[in-house]
Amino acid sequence: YNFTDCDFKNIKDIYQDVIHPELNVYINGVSEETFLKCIFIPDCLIKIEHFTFKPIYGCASLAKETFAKQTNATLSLGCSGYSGIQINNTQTMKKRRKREVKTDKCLEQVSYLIELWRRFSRIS
Amino acid sequence: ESGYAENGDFDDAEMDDYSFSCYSQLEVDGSQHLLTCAFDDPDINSTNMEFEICGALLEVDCLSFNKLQGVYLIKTKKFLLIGDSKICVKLGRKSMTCKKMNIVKIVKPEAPFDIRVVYRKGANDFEVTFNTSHLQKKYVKELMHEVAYRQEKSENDWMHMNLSSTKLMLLQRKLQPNAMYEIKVRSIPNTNYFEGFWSEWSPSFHFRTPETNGPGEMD
Repeated sequence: YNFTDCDFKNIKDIYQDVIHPELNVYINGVSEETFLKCIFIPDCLIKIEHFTFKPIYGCASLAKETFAKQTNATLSLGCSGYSGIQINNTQTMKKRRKREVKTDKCLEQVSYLIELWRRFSRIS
Repeated sequence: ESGYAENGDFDDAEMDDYSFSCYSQLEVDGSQHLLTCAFDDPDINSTNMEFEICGALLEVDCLSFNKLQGVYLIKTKKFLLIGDSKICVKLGRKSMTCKKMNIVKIVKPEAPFDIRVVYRKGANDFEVTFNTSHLQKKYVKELMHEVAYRQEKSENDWMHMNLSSTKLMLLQRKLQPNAMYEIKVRSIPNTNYFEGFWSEWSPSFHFRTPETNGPGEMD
């Protein structure tokens, strides 16, 4: 999906009032230097989707976080033709019961997201 | 919000007016949100009537309301805060009426509190301050406040001022000298995303103006 046909204003409003506070709760003051850039608005959303939902070695679990579900709902609502990422509710309930470990890799990943969203918010 | 009967065709039993209204209060108890619904007709027989919300929820598809003295409540962390939900009035398993609602568009802030007035002789004014729990919240941090004040003896002669901060100056020369005043404040969401209703009024504060006015007597 190339995120060109989206209501960027609505996405920005939701990011500023809902997703941003949730990302801050997750990162909880841990600030990480990141040199990740996105130039155009669709490029930002493509990277936001990637870093939010694609599991990587050392951080397999962001998709179950509240900010990820809010991102999924925001992109699904805001971008016509975007069907969103399937997040299995029952699976997340089991995962949530395990003691959640916020790995450094996940914190690094979320720092990327904060930077990408910040750029998106500034250029949209 | 559009209301419609679930099954579309009405017979007499279903002609009863099950219309209802709701408002949400976010992070009202830590990170728990509160959704309150009530029938518009206070005299309706609500025995066996239940409310249920589906859609735009985290980890669950639907949630049932609790009933407390004719009002239906849900306290939960599971609001996604994005997208529409469907709220239905149910009689057993049958939906009598349903409404599409968006939790973030029916937000009723908590009432402001701790309103105080301090006379500043040197500045010939009154400094009005008040507090709001929304400053500490994650969501709905930005509110518009409406301050209302009146001379106590003039029943409905309220003066109103809107502000987004929690401090306001009333010029002494704008008030009657040696008079008792009442002042109160309420709030409404003031962001692009969260919308809703006025909060309840804060408790009032009463103060008396000094005998003589400062420079520029009130005409």
